Amino acid sequence: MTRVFANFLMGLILLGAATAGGVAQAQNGPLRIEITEGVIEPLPFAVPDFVAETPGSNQISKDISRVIAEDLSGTGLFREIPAQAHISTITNFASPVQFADWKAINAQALITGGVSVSGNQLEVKFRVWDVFAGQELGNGLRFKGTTDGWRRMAHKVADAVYSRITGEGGYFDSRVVFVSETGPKNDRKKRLGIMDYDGANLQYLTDSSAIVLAPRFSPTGKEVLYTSYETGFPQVYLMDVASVRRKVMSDEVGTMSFAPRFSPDGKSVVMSVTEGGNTDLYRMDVASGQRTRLTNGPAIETAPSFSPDGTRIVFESDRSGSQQLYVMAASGGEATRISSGQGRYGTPVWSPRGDLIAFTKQNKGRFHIGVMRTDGSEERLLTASFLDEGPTWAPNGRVIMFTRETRGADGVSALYSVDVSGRNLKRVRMNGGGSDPSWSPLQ
Amino acid sequence: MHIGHYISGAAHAGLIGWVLVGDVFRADPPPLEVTDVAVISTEEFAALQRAQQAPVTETEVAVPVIPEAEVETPEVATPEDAPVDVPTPEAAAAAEPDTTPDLSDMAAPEPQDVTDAAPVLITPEVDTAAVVPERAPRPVVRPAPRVAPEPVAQPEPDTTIADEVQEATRPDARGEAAEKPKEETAPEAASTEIATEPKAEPEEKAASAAPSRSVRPRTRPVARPDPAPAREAAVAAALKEASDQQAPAARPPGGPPLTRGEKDGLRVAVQNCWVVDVGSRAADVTVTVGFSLDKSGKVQGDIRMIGASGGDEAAATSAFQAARRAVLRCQKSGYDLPIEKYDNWRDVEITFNPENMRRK
Repeated sequence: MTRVFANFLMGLILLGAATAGGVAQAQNGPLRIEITEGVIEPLPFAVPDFVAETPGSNQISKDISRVIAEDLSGTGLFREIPAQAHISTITNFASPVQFADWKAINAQALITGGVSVSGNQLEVKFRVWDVFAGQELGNGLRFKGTTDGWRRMAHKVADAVYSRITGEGGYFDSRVVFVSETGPKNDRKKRLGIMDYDGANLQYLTDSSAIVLAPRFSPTGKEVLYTSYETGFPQVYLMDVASVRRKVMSDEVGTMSFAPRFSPDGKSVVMSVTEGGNTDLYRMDVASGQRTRLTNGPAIETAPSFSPDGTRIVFESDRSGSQQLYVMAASGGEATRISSGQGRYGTPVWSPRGDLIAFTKQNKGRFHIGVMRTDGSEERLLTASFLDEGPTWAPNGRVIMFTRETRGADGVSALYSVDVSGRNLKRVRMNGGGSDPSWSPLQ
Repeated sequence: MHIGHYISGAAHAGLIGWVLVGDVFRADPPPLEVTDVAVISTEEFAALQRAQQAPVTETEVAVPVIPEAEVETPEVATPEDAPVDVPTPEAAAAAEPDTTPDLSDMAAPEPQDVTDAAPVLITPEVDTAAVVPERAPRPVVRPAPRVAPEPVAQPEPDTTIADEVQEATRPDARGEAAEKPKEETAPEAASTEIATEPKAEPEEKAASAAPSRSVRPRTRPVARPDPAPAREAAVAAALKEASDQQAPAARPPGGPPLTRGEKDGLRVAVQNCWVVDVGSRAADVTVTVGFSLDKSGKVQGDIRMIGASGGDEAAATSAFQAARRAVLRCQKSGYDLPIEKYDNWRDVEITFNPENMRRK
C-alpha cells in the first residue's frame, strides 16, 4: 500500500514538473494559437467603373467593368459592393488608392482600371488591391485587342483578378459547346451551339436536320467531336470550330460509334463502338485513324474520360449487373470498379485538377450530379432533381456544368452550373434550352 | 423572618384562585360573521366561469414589416446577344478568333504622399459596462439559534449560594455606614431555559463554528525501512527540478501568462474574419503567420508567413493572403488583450488550419 501511494505521489510530482516546464516554455516565445474554424462567405470587392482615358471610351469602360463584376460575383465566392456605397471615386488610373475609404465600406479587394479606344483598337489595363493590407496583388496588366472583343478582354481581366485572389486559374475566358434544343419533347430540334461560358455570343455549328449528341472540345478548344445520326447510324465527327469543316471519324459499315472524347494531348480519341451487338471501348489515332480495342466483353462499356495526365481512363460499364464506374490504364487491361454506393453511376468525367471524378447518379428515382475521389472514396452528391446528367468541368476544375430537365411532356432541358463545394447552383443564362454541355479550356 | 412564608402563601392562594375562577380573566369570544349562501343556476355558473376564463391569446399578431433597404441594384447594361443562325454547316459563319491580347507588365505608379488617415472611432470615455459590479457580494452565513434566541446579560459577580435570600448591603449615600457590608446570597433554583452568555464577536464566532481544517491523522511509525531508497532520491530530484522550473515561471518578465480565456478571445476575434474558400486548393493549406502587436493591440509592421504545408506555392500564397486579411480586418481599434501581460502577446504566431472547414 505504501509503495502504491509513493508511486502515485511520484507520478503527480513528475506530471507537475512537466506541466510547469511547458508553461515556462510557452512564455518564452511568441504567443501561439491555432485557428481551425473560419467563415464561409463571399469576399466583398469593389469595381469602380474603369477610367475612360480617351474620348468615346466612356460606355465601353462601363461595360467592361460590369462584365468583370458579373464574372466575379457569378462564382459565389465574391460579392460586389454597389457603386452607390463607394466613398472614393477613381478618376485617374495612376492615382494612389485611398485605402481608408475602401476599408470603411469593407471592400477587401479593389479592382481599378483604365480603358482607351483608338479606332477599333481597344486597350484595357487594371490593378488589383488588397485593401486591408494596403498592397497591390501582383502587378498591373495591360490587354490590347479590338473593340469587337471587348467582352473577351473583360473576361481576361476577371480571370486575372480571380487568379490573384484565389491562387487558382480562372474560367471566364472560356466557351461551352452544347446541344441546343427547341420545340416540344416529341418534336425537339437539336443542333450544336457554342457560346461564352456565361451564355453570351451564341452561335450554331450545325442545323437541326439531324440529331446530334455529346459534343466534346479538343484540348486546344479549336475542334469539337460529336455524334450525329446524319446517316441513320450514330457516327462520330470531328469539326473545326473556326471553319465549321468536319470529317467522320469512324465510317465502318455496320458499326455504331458514340461517346467520343479527346486524350489530353489531342492526338487520340477514345470512344464506344458497337459491333455485332456488343459495345466496347476503342482508342483511335486522330492522324492515322488506326483503332485499338481497349475492352473486350459482353457488357456495355461507354462514356470514357481520360485522366489529365493521360495515363488512365474512367468509364461506365454494366459488367457487374448494374451500371457502375471503372478505372483502367489508358492502354486497356483490367479495370477497377470505383463506385460502391447504391444506385447506378454514369457519365464520369475526370477533373482537370486530377483529384476528382464527376458523375451522374440515379438512385431511388432521383438523379444527382456528384463527385468522388479517383479511388471512389469521399463521394459527395452536389445536386438532386428529376433529371440531372452529363457533367462537364470548368477549365480550373472548380465548377461543374450539367443538364437539368424538368418533368412532364412540357419539360425543358437547360444548362446549370454548381460549385464543386455544392454551393452556388444556378441556371446558365441563355436563350432556349440546351443539354450535353462541354466546357472548353481557357482561350 | 416570615416574609418568605407570607409571599409564598399569597402566591399559592393567588394560583388556587386563578384556577377556580379563571374564567373571569378569559376574553370574550370573537363575534362570528354569518353570510347567506345563495343557490345559483347552471347558466349563471357557466356565465361566471366564462367571465373568469383567461383571455384568449391573439394568434394573428401583426408582424411589423421590415422596410426594404433602398439600395438599388445597379442595372447591368449588357446587350442581348442575338443568336447567329447558321443555316447549313457550309454557310455557317466561322467564328473569327479574337485578337490575342498583348499582356505586358506595367510599371508601378510613382509613390506619392497619400494621406490615408484612418477614420477615428469616437469611443465613449466612460465604459458603461464598468458600472456593473464585477462580482455580487457573497451573502454572510448566519448561525441558527441553537440554545437561546438572545444571549442574556452577563450576571453580576456570582451570588453566594445560601439557604436564605439576603440583599447585599451597599454604602450609604451619605457615607455613613450603619452596618458591616455583607455578601448577597440566594437559594439554589432552576431556570426555565438555558441562557448563554453574550460573546464578544458573535458573527465571526458563529461563522467559524465549523472546524477550519481537518486534523491530519498522524502517520504511523514505519515498521521496516523502505526497500527502495532510490525512489526517495527520484522524488527529491523531481521536486527540486519542479521547484527550479517553477521559479522563473512564477514571475515571468511580462507578468503572469495569458489565461485560456484571454487566448480564446484573440482566437475567436481573428477566426470571425477568416474567410475560407472550401472548394479551393488554398483550403488544403495550413499556414502559420507571425506578427507583432503594439500595446493597443494593433498590428505593428508587416504580417509574415512563417510556414505553409499542404499545397503548391500559389495555394500557399492565397492561404496566406486570406490569413493576413483576417488578422488585419478584425483588429479594428486593437485586439482586447491585458496590457499588464504585454510582453506575453507582443509577438504572435497564428496557425490557420482549414482541415475542419473542408468537410463543410
